[in-house]
Amino acid sequence: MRRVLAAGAAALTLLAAVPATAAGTGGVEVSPPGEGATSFRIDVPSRGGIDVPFALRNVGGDGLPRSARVYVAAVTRSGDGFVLGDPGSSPWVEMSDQHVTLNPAERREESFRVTGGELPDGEVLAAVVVEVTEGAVVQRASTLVYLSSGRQIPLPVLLLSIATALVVLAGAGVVVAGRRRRA
Amino acid sequence: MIRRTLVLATATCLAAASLGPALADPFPVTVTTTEGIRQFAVQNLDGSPLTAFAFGAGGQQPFKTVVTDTDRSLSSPGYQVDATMSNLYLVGADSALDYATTIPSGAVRLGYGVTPLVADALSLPVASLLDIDGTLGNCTSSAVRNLLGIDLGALLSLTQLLLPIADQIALLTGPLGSVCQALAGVTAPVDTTVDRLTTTVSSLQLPLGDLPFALTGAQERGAFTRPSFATGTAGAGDTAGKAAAAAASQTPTSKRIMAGTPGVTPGLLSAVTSALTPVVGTLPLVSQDGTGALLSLDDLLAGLSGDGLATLVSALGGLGATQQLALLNQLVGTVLPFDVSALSTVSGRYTAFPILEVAPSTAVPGTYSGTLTVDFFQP
Repeated sequence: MRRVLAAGAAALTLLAAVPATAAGTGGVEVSPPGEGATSFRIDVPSRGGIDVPFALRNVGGDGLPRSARVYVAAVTRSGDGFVLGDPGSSPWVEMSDQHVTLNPAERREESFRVTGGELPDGEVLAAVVVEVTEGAVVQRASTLVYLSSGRQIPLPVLLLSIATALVVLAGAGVVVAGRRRRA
Repeated sequence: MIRRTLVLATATCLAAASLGPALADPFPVTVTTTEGIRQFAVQNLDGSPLTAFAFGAGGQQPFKTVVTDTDRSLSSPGYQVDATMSNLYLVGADSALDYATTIPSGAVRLGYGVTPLVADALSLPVASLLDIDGTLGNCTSSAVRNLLGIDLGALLSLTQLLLPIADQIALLTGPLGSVCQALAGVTAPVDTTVDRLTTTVSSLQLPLGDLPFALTGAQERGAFTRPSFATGTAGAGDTAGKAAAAAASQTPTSKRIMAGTPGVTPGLLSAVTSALTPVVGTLPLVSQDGTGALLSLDDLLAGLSGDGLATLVSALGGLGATQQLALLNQLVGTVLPFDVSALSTVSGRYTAFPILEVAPSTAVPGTYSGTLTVDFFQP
């Protein structure tokens, strides 16, 4: 299991190194991992959980620090639109509700955790939210998280199955070759 | 045969088993590409952050929502911007909200100005093919000699200057001699295509439907019939209202303010072509680093090398940049027709101009406080 998580971490490390396409508000942006990615598309493992990295950036470009509240929340569809739930409302996605301040041009690596398990039927959505409150106005930029059922077979089991199949194949070859020689 | 089969099977199994550790080792990857930005803001009409609503006697508060794209991939998804509203609560003497005395959110309506949607500051880099035509001439021409700074009188002896001009040119040595020999070998007019032209067109004026992220769909108007009690809003502390809404499975009324839909229309391509033509027509073909010209010297030379002009390009390398530019700017570049593949990113600003209106109320006189929540969603 540790190897599965390590492999997952390696893959996500690789993805995080590739710039994405960010969105945000108040000069604070969320960049999902993956080249050109504008949202998170996560295969939810059947057990355990995975940490999903993303970057927070100050893109204000005016040499000033930028502050925002950052959290994750459930999202549902309503018609052709989306409805954002309260902070922490997603049972699948966890991250501490935090208030961040980024120095000019600062880029900070963050992550949220996706809990493994059986997803319900239908679309499961969440969002990483950047929220800025200015008096009577709350502006929120939600980068969507699309959750789908992941690979059901852990990697070690998969590799062991392949190795076993190859040994069986080799054994069959030995038997066939032996019969041919006897014939 | 059996032994070979066993060895092969064992090796295969070992290779399969070794995949695990290999996958577990992280390795650094460095890729440099442009990272597109999309920022969303709610502002007063003068561009300052909107922080309060002063409805005044007219009961209206205009504002704007702005989505600003910087180097945004044209193939990336669009966006949507929606608004919800809390009830307005009477502000007590101690600045605490009186949740029992409200102006319901249903008394607040969303409307729009005469021009509800605008896009400006649009610019797109266009990576198009450039057709390069023209004649370079050769050193028997005084015009070419002038361009290259060849002074035969200074380079040849008096006796040599009595020879026919072609023979004089043949006597030239060094870099100029090499260039003149190479030019003599260019027997046909230059006619080649280079793919290194990237020109940015800006200040495009486009119908809303032809924008790189088209502003489509009607702006939703009307009252916020069902209030928001979301965390962080004035309604969050209205426990009775929140409980009643939850019991009725009531979601707040959401109004779509704007939505951007990606897609390159024929109208956009036509507008980019029209904007590109005058830009290209006014620029010289080449400059040292490409500034103020269609191509940099390196890019043009690289383009010409592949078209049977390798000997000339090599010989030009021995000359100074001024001489090279003078000679090569005799050629003319024409942008060839392009398609959507020439477009990759866009920068621009998309703005909606909503108006928040509050209906005349019989509520207890006083100051009321509520929260407008504007949600931007990035799929």
